Amino acid sequence: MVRGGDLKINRAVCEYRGVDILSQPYRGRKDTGINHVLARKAAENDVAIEINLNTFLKTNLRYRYRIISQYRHIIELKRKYKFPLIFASNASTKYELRNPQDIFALSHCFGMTMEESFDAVSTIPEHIIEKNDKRDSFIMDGVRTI
Amino acid sequence: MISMNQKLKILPPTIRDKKRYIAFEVIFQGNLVREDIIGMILDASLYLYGACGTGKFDIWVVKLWNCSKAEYPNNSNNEKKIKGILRCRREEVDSVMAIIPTITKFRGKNVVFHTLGISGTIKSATKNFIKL
Repeated sequence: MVRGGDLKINRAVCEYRGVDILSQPYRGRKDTGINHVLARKAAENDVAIEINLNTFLKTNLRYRYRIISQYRHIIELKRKYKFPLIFASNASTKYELRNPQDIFALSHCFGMTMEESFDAVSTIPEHIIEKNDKRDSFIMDGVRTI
Repeated sequence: MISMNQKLKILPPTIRDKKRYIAFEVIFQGNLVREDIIGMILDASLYLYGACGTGKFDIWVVKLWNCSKAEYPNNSNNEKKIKGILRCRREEVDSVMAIIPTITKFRGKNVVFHTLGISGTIKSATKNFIKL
């Protein structure tokens, strides 16, 4: 898992198959940090893009609209290029944890459907964990030790 | 440290959001700078629609022109007239236009925003509505 924000890091991560998650590609930026080129690379290399709810919840109310706008653009790219997208709470205390039902409701504000948000919260993280369990036996694409 | 000079390659036209440009004018008794106008529009939008609604609009003030001297050469009230162009998503034009009349006060003084027209390009908005 790599924390993004810098364009060179975002690009390097999207092009590298060994990384599972690119966290917060929009960090410290006015744009989303990914475009159609990086979205296509992320989909090819099975790199998940993480949307961090902590960023949204901790941003000043006056600038929250900007975060929502960035999330919406990432979700539009996800629909077109079909890269894996996940939600993370980045919680360090119990006060920052949120119920999955609440996250589904919140993701509706970003324009996501129920199925998309369920995938982002449950199916794709599960797939990443399963992939990591088998990682040691991988040699290259299509080849693994038995 | 993240450098903000880095820019992403622009999205292809098929994925890009379709935009509309709303020409407007502001009349205010006092001085106004670009940041004041951006702040007024964003605050009004946040009050009317909240963060969730405002996030959909992709609002941005593209350009402003100071027209006080041209239209009021003998201005005694210190009244300032500024014309500008506001950018938003094509699907949200009606909602964005509803923000403009809700702005009534700024720093305790009266302020009024008038919509001059809507256009698909900055060039035609300037030519048809700003009319410099």
